[in-house]
Amino acid sequence: MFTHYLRYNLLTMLRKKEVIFWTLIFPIALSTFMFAAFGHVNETTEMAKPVPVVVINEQEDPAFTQVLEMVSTGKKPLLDIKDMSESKAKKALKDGDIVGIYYVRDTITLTVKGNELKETVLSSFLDQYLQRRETMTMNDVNACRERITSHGNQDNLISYFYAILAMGCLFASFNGVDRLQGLQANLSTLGARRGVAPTPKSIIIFSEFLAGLLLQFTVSIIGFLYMWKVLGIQFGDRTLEMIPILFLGCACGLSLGIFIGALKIPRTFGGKMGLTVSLSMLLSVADDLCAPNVRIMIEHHLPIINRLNPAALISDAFYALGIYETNTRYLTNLCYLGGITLFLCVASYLMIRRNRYASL
Amino acid sequence: MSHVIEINNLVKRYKELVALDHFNLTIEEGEIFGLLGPNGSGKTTTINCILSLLSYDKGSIKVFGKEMKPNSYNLKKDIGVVMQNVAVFDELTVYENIDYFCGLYIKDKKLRKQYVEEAIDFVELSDFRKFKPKKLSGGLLRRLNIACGIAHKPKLIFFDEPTVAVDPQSRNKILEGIQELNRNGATIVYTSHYMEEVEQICSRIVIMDKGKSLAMGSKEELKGMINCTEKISVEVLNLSEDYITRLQQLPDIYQVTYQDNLLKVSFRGGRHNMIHVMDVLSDYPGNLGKIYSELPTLNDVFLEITGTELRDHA
Repeated sequence: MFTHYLRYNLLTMLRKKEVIFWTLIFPIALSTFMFAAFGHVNETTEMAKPVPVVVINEQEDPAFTQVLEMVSTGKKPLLDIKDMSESKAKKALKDGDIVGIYYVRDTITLTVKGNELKETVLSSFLDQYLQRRETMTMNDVNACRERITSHGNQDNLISYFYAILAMGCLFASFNGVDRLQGLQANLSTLGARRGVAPTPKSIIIFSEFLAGLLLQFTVSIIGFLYMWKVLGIQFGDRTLEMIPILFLGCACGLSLGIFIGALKIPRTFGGKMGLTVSLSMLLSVADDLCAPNVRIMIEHHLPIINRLNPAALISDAFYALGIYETNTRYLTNLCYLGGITLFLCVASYLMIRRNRYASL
Repeated sequence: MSHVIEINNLVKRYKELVALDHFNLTIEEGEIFGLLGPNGSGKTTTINCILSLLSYDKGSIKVFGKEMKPNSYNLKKDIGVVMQNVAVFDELTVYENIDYFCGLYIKDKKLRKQYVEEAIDFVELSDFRKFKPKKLSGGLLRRLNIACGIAHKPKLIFFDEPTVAVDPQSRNKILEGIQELNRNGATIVYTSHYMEEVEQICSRIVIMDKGKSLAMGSKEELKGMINCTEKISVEVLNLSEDYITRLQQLPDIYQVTYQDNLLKVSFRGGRHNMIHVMDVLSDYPGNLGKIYSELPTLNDVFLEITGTELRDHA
């Protein structure tokens, strides 16, 4: 029986031109536009290139020196340590020849120019070192390097494409609102007709959710393949692990739409759709869609926003795959996405199950 | 006969507006029951309350002897609804739409296929099974709407103004179809503000206005509740007051009106009323136009109870 609903839900979605436009055509068009505008992204992209940095030793720290040596040598060096004086280093930093300067004093500090992605690598490396310096062993040093070793594209502009993929996932929310309209008697006659049927709403909602997820996930994969294979965007060598991000991202976007659709206010479909579009765009902007480093800025000032913003979680999961070899941050983001999805789905169901309306 | 629907003391308010005011209703099995009233009288609200789509402030509703709730799936499986507004998927074909909605009730695939085919034949949409709703005319769309509501062969079917904006030919087909469904065993609840339709097909009728039940019974019983039993109309130019006075003195006279050159003489009972009217007008110096006699309609019932014509509201 469930397949009956699923089949027709998929059919109705696939035959809706607006759904296909917003979920597939628009992200593809936007990524093409971005590619045309920032075509040099692939020319400047340097996969796994060590980050140039200068170390100013105002005080001796043999352990740090040793760790630096470890992570700047070998097959996959993390850092490219330049030897120069402080004044030259400052000029090099200003000119963009190096990414940062480590000052080894009582406490080791890092000076960077702005908020670029590579600077985050330096910052992350230092954070990990400082956290574990007291108990650090050689194995830890190796682990430290491995954690931050870059296997992905660290170019700042790749974040635009992450943001487009995240936005595409969030656009599933439009479909979510639309589908929920067809389930509520106070919003549509279709909702009234389905409301008088002897099929529990949980089954209909789940079939709608699954159909929406299948469709959205498929078009997200198509969009991703288009960026990767057609535009030639280098997403790094962990592309298979990007699939769960897209899957959970689509689920989260869809459940966000279903949640807004289930809210009592706004009461009209137009109002709900307006809220969804505004929210999707706002979350995408907070995820660097319109300007770089917004997400990092939010991370510094109000990190909880990034933990609750599905677009930021999706992008950060992509970013974590590109930057870290370990999966902690990647999996943390996936857990947040899954948790938000679950919460939104349960809340939506509780809002609309066994509902009698005050007016139709 | 058992009660298919029992409504007791139902009150429904939309803020200050009382949509249903201590409304009572009992519908028996096998009836075609008509809810007649002007727009805004509470017909659709009544249906939506019965179907548990709308919340209500007071009262109780039983369907098939059991309290109706949003999760009364065992009751819902025997109910069909033809909504006032067409409720179909624009993206699905005629066949797919009927199959989808039938599938909400009928799980067996083979049986569902049979039911869908029967519904398509019933509403005579066989030639349009692959058409999408936007390609259908208004009348055909209404028929699709009906097929989606009745394909699962329900025991109780609600038709909420199914003939609004429908051409006369399609309207007749719809009314004939409803009677056929009833003959096949379904209890029908039919709402309309077209009194002719209600009069044509309903075995019992409730006349509603402002959320209240004004009168209930068969059409004969309803007409029996009013004073007027016969209306004689005569087209006549410049009729003097003298004739009207003489007509008012006829036996069993109920009411005499003269407006726009149309004389209307109503009687409460009596025999040979036409002859009496013609006797009075026999010395009228001019020519008389059309002369006809009518039995009272449900509009007359509504008029006498409320003081306004049903048509004025619609």
